[in-house]
Amino acid sequence: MDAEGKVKEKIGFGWPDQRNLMIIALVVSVITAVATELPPAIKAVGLILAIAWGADVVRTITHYGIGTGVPSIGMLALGMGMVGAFAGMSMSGFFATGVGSYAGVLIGVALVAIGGLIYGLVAVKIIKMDIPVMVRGMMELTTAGALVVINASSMLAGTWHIDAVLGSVVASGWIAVIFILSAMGMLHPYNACLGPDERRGRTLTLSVEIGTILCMLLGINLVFADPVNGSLLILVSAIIWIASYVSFVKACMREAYETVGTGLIKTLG
Amino acid sequence: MDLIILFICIVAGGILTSLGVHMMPVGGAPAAMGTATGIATGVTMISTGAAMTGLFTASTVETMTSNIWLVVLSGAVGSMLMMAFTMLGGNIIYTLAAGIVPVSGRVDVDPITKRPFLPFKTPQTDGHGTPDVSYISGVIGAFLGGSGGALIYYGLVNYADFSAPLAGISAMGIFLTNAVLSAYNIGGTIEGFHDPKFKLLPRALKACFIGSLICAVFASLISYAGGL
Repeated sequence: MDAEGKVKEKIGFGWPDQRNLMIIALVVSVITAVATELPPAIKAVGLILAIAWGADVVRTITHYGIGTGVPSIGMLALGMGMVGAFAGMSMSGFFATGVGSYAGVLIGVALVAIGGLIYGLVAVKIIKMDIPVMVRGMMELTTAGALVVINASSMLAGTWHIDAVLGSVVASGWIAVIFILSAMGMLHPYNACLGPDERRGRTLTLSVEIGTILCMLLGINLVFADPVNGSLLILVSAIIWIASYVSFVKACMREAYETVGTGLIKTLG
Repeated sequence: MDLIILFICIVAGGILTSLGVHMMPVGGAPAAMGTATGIATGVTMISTGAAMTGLFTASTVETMTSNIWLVVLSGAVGSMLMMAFTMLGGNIIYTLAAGIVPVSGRVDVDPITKRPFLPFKTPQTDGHGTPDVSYISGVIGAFLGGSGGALIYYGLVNYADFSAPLAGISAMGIFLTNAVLSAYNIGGTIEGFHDPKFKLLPRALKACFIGSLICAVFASLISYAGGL
């Protein structure tokens, strides 16, 4: 108990519990996705929170052991989430102007949540997976995946309307980078930290670190089109990246029984 | 009419994907240590790799012809080549570097070539390498999986008017969701069509039918509302 408190104090950042993290991430990333006028540096916060939420759900589901390895569920989240996100973005065709033009994100999120619900029910009822949190987890995972894709697209294109997204995100190939890096941000943390001494705070810190790598890459693309917003995005995500990297490595060094450095990466002692 | 054909393409592609995944010889992490039969990775990863190669060949052929059979078969051939080379590379490393013979852990005699497995199997292991029957099963699985991916791609491009990049990434997403559902059904490892787990196939087909229906609804929404 005492040791745990000490660890929390040293990192200086207590993660909210699972339900609160879900609510915070859902609200913040929906707001950043709907308000397309926000600068990309603020949208990055929604993106990172959505990735951390996904990583948390992956952690909960794969705790039970799914037999296929942790990566498969992250790929499912993004595969389903991306197709659903495109369906949500294309709603801009129905409501071109007015308040309705903001509703696309909400419709997309609702569609993906329904899709995830059916997937979870299929996995439990037909495939007969013995995981109690499967239905809820699938809903949350696919929603997080869709929100990540919508947020990242709106950071690059400035809007999530499908006409703009098709040109600057899909045709340019950035969708592949978004796909694999955000899947990595959800599946890699638990896959890497897996073990009897796995701690939730450490796992989520790693997911924040991967999310900021995605933001930095998006910023490098954005800086040529929009120097001010692009450099701001790179700056903000670089600061969060350094902070999360340092705190993750320090947590690993402290919680490991013994570490041997290879000298390849400076591990900060 | 286009909508019905799009649904048929995506659902048929999803079911072919599920069939293909069930035939891939994958051993997961134990195979990496040479203690299980198959390729040393997860079933989702290897079938996605095969389907991606198939999508590259299918999309290349699709730019030249709109014949459905040519596109689907070229996707299947791309996948088969990728799987065949992966299994061959694995077998070369197992036999020449690790010094173990490809044998199956589920059957005592190869069902196709009648070669004995039992004398060559290391005790306490679940087989190692990719034996003949698993190799043939893997190539057939890649044929089915690759043609499933190519069929989804063809349907999206021709009946939903998707652009090539959007169709490619969406086909990969739809393929992945079906592959993961099938992977859950077999619990991560399978040796091929001679494995007892192959009998669980019907429930994966049912699941993938429903799963690809959802994806087909999404795809038709993108096509209709997005004004593509």
